Amino acid sequence: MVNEHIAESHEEAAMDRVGFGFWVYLMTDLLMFAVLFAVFAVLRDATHGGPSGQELFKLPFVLTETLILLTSSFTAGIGMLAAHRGIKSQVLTWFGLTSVLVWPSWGWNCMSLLNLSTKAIPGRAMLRFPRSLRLLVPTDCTLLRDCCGWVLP
Amino acid sequence: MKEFLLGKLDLDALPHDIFMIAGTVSFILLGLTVIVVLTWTKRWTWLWKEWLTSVDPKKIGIMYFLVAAFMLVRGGIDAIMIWLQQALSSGSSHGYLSADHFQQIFTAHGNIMVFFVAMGFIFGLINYIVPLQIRARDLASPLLNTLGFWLYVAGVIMVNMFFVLGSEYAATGWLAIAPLSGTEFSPGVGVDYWIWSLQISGIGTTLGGINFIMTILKMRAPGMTLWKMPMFTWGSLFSMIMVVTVFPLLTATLFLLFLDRYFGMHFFTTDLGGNAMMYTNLIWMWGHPEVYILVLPAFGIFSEVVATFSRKKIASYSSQVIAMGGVSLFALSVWLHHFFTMGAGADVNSFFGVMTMIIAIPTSVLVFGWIATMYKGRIKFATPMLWFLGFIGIFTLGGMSGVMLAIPPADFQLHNSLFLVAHFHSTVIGGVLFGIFCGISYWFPKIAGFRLNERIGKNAFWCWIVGFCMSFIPMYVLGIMGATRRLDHYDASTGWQPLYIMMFIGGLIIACGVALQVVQIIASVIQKRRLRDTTGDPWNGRTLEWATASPPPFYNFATIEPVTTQDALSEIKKQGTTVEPKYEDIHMPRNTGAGIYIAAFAFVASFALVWHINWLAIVGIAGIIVCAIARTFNDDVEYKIPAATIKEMEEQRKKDTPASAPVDSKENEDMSLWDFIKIVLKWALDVVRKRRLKTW
Repeated sequence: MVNEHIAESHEEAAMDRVGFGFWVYLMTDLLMFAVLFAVFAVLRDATHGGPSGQELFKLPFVLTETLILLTSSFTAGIGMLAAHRGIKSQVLTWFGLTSVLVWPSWGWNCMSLLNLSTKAIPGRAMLRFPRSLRLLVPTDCTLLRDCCGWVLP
Repeated sequence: MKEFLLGKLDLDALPHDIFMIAGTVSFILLGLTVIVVLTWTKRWTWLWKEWLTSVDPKKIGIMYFLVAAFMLVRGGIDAIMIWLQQALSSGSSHGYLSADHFQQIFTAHGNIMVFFVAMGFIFGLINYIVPLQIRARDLASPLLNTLGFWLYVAGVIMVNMFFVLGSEYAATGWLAIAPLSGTEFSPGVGVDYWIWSLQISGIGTTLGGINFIMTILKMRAPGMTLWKMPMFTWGSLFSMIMVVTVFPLLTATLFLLFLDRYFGMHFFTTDLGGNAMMYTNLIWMWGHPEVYILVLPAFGIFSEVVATFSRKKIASYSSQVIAMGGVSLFALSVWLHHFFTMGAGADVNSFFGVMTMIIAIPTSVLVFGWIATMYKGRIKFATPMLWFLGFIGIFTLGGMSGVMLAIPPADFQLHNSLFLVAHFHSTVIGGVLFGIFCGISYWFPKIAGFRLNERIGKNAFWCWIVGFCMSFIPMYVLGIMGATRRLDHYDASTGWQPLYIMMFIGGLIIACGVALQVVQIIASVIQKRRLRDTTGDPWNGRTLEWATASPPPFYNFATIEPVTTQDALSEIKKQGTTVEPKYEDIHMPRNTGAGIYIAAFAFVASFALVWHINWLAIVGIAGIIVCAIARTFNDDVEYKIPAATIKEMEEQRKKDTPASAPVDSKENEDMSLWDFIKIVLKWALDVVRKRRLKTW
C-alpha cells in the first residue's frame, strides 16, 4: 500500500515536470516565431518593385484557414483528453476530425506556396515569406508539439 | 541523375590542399586508433551499454569533458597557427598561410572555442554537479539530456567534416556576418558547414536548457527553497534561462540564412530587398547573451570555490544572487554595442552604451562579494583558489577595457581593432576558461575519486598566467596602435612585428600550460592511491555534492534527506548528528539509444543539406521523426531498485573504502614535475632494456 502510494506520487511528479518543461519549450517556440514576425515586419515592404502583400494575399481565405486550423488544435486537444481517460471511440472520433481538418489546410498551404512562387518574381524575400510562415505554423503546432509531448517523458 | 544522387558532391570535394590532407589523415588515423583499441580490448559492447547510451548525467558530464578537451586542443592549434602567421607575415614575407586559409582558421578557432569548448565544459560541469548540489538522482528528462549531448557531438563532427569533404570552412568570421555569408560572396560549402554545425548543436543546447530549468526548479531536495540553493546552481539556472531566451533566436536566424543560401531567398542579401544589417542585429541578439550564458555558471563556480577555500560563508549571498540575475537581465539589452559604427544614430548608441556600462555594476557587486568572502577568511591557496585569483585580475582587466569599448565615441576608434580582441579574450579566457579549470580542479576528486596533483597544477597555472599576459597585453597595445583584427599581413613600417612575435611566444607558453595540465592528470593517475579521496569531502566543502561518496554511486544519494539551511553540508557537519539512514526504493531511468539515433539522423539530414542532396535530407528528417515516435511506444523507461539492494550496496561500498588514504613517509605527497620526468624516463629505459634483453 505504502509502496503503491510512492509509485503513484513518483509518476505524478514526473508528469508535473513534463508539463512544466513543455511550457518552457513553448516559450522557446514563441521566441523563434517572434524573430520570424520581426523579420516580416522589417521586410514587408521590401518587395523591390514587385507585387505587394495586399495584392497577393486574400485575407478572408487566410482567416478561414486559420480558424480551421485553430479548431483542429482544439479537437486534437479534446482527443488527447479522451486518450488520458482511455475512451477509445472518442479518441478515434476526435483525432479523425482533426486529420480531416488538418490535411486540407496543409494542402491549401502547399498549393498557395507553389502559387506564390510562380506568381512572385523569384528571389523576393518578403513574397515567399508569409506563406511559408503560414505553412510552418500549423506544422509546428500540430506535429512538432505532439512529437515533443511524446518525447519529453 | 548524378546531381540528384549526390547533390554538389563530387571528386573535387576530396582533400587536395596539403593542410587539409594533413588534417584528414590525422582525423582518419585517430578514428582508426580508437576502433583498433576498442576491438583489441573487446570494449565495444561495454562502451555502447555503459557510456554511449547512458542517461546518467554524471557519465554524460564526463563525455562532455572528453569531447570539449579534445576540441580545446583542436582550437588551440588554430590559435597557434594564427599567431605564427602573424608573427611571420610582415613586409615582404607573407607567412606560410594563404589569406583565404587564414580566414578559415580564425573562423574555426572562434566557433570551436565558444561552441564546442566553453559550452561543452560548462554543460559537462552542470550535468555532473547540479544534480548533486540539489540532491537529485537524475534529471527531469534523461532522454533530452542524452539527445542534447549527442546533438552537440554531431555539431562537433560537422565542424570538422570539411577536413574530409569540401576542404573549405567558412571564411567569414565566427558569426558569419551577412552579406559575406551569402552565396554571392561565399559560394562554397564552408558557410553551410558553419550553419549546420551551429544549428544542430544549438538545438541540443536549447533542449539542455529546458531540461536543467525543469530539474533545478522541480527536483530539489525537500526543504531546499530557491534561497537555499548553492551559488553554482543559481549561476546555472540563470544561464539556462538565458539559453531558452536567446538560442531560439539563433535557430531562427540560422534558418533564414539557410533559406537564403539554399532556396535563393533574399533576407540578408544586399540586393532585391534583403537587409544585411538585420542579420547583424539578430545574430548579436543571441551572440552577446551567449558569452553571459558561459560566464554565469563560471561565476557560480568561483563563488563555491572562494567560500570553500576561505572557510567562510559566501559574503552577502542574496545580493550575489540578485547581481547574477541583474547580469543576465541586462545582458539581453546590450547587443547593439557590437556595431555602434552601423550608424543607428546617437540616441540608440548612447542607450546601448549606457546599458553596457550598467552591467559593470552587478558584476562589481559579484567581484566585491568574492573579495569580501576572502576578507578575514582562513584562505588555503590550493589550485582552484589560484585559478580564482587569476580570474579576478584578468577579468577585471577585461571588464575595464569593456567599459572603455562601451563608450560609443571611443568605440568608433577601437571597433574591429586588436584592442577588442584582447578585451574579449580577457573576459572569456579569464572568466570562462579559468572558471572551467577552477571548477575541474575543484570537483576532480568528486568525479575521479582522487584529487589532482597540486604542484604540477600550480606550474600549469603560472604558465597560463604568464602566457596570457605575454600574448594579450601586447594585443591591447597593438590595438591602440591601430592594428585591426584578422590581419594576415601587415606593412613592415608599422613596427608591429616584435609585438606579434611576443604574442606568438606567449601562445607557446600557454601551450606549455595545456601540456602541463595533461601531465598533471597523468601524474595524478600514477599517484592515484596516495591522492585518493576516501571521505567524499576532500576540501571541507559546504554544499551537498560533497555529502556523497567520491565518485558518487549511480543513484547519487542512497537517501534523500530534507535540507534546512543554505550551505547544507556545513550545517550537517556542525550539528554532527548521524541518523540511521532509512532506505527506500529508488526509480532510475533505463539507458536508451534514442538520443544517439536521433542525433545521427540529424547529422545525416544536415550533411545532406550542406551538399544539396535532397533525398538524403528527407531520409534524415523522416528518421528523426520516426525515432522520436518509436521512442514514445517504449513504456519501459524506468526500473526500480528495491530498498534492500540499496542497503546492501551502501554497506558493501563502506566496507570497500579504506578508512583513510595510505600515508606516505614523505611530507609533501604530490610529485613534482621533475619527479614525473624521472618516472617517465625510468619507464622508457625499462622498456628499452627489456626489449634489448629479448633481442639478446
